[in-house]
Amino acid sequence: MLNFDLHSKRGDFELKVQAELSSSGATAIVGRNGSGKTSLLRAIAGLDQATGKIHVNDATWLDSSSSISVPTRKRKLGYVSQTPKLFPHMSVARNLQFAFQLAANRSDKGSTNTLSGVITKFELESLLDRKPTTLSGGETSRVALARALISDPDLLLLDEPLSTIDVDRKRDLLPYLEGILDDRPLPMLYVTHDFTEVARLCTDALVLRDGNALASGRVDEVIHSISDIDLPELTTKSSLINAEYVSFDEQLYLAYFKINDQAMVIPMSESPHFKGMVPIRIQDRDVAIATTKPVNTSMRNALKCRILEIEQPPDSPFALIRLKCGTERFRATITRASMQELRLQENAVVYALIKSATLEA
Amino acid sequence: MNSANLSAIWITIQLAAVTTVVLFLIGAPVAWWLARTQAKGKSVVEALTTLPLVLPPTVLGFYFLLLFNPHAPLGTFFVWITGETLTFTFHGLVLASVIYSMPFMIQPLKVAFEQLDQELLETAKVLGANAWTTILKVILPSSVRGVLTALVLTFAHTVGEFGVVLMIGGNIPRETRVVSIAIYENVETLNYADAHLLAGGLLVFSFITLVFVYSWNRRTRIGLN
Repeated sequence: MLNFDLHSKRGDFELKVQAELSSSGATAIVGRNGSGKTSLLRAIAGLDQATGKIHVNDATWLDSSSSISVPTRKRKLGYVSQTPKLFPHMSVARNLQFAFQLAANRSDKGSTNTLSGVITKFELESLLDRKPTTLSGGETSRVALARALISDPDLLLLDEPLSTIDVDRKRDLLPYLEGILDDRPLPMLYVTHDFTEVARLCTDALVLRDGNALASGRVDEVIHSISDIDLPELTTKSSLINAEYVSFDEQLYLAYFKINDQAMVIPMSESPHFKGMVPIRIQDRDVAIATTKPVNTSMRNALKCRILEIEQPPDSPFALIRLKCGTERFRATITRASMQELRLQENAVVYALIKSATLEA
Repeated sequence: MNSANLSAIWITIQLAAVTTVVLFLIGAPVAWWLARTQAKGKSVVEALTTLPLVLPPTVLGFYFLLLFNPHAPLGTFFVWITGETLTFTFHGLVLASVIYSMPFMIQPLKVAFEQLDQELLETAKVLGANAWTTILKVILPSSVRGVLTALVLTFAHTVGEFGVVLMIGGNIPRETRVVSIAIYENVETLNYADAHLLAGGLLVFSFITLVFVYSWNRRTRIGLN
């Protein structure tokens, strides 16, 4: 279990976050740049000064009221930063051995993870003799994760460990991250901007804004409270909606979902393994608008929506239409020409034609 | 070559080696502090440690003579604890050389420590390394070029000192007569053969040392240029 109530101040920025998190599972830390995600992790690690309380399982790492502040090196934690740092003068094998020896010194029982076990798990056999400078971004991340795990932490702090890796390679690394939690359940704080990672790894989420906790709880509950302003530019060209999974048609390879009382289908190559509510991402560009329900079209998804707002950025041929479908909100980007031709206005009821949507799970 | 000249070489090597070791032990913490601190006194300390680079050796020698003589507090104190004087002895030479060669130790170390990635130190902390382990296993190995440069330059610069040695060490055979003094003496006594040997030897030694330092630092900045 991880329980903290932290307060720190660095320059103009003030962090004030309190949360209690489950003992075995990843908690996504989401929020815009500057919302305090990294500051929170650094405060928990003891790398930045903070006051308040931190309890991890039975251990107290920080309790300002009784002047307890365990130094970083005695906190049993694994930390992988945005740009993971391997010791450049040591080979991959030496990097791991160094962490292993330090872990043995840190606790009487030593590390419960064996070197060979971690090497196998992260498939590092072929990298052992390499120097860190010769590794790719993905390989560096794998070694850094392995090294964090070999030190047998009671808490894992991962600060966008995959952010420097291109999208295709990220998919290769996610199984390693999932594997961490399979073997030994331990609390993990996972800072990310990527909803795929949230959906695959995290059970809980903590949303930060301006150094404060905006919401915390189970991912599917919290996801509603995450609005555009809590996400960086990267993700604001698409929206995320919640849909209820209904069934899978094995003949047509279509998964059926319900958004409030409307149906939506997503083509899938195999039957999905999830149940209940799932997040679905819709790119703004993939939504077209019709004023009447279209017939004879190849598009499977036409959701009846209400226009909340129309944005027309200057010097742009496009207009951004904000739509509301029951409780869910998403956006469409269409040309201003179409917008004028269709005489779209706020509050009008239209059909949103969704060319494609992807599951975030 | 006569035995007086051979002993000059031996004394020079001893002096340079002892000075390098002592100066590393003093200089490394000072360089670390200079590389990390934001304190107000930083510029003053930096100026003090670089002063020997710009002052004529005679200025340093003059002040050392005043400080080290057995009637001055420092000189008296040294006589009291060791029974020997600081002037015209090997100990005095070491102390003078430590100050005279200080910039050559501190500058390269400072640059190396400044370039050290702060996150590496944090990583070591997170993995559970204490200060001593971090110094031995992380800081020194990752600053190895700067450390070697500092050691080699300090050694070479101490070998090459003349004015300070002349003023506070004098020219006592087998005690304070180093190579540079021996060359001076050989020239004065018109013993050009030995002067050639010693001068040529120093020239080759210094050249090889600098080639080594520059090839070592080809891809990194060193402190003194």
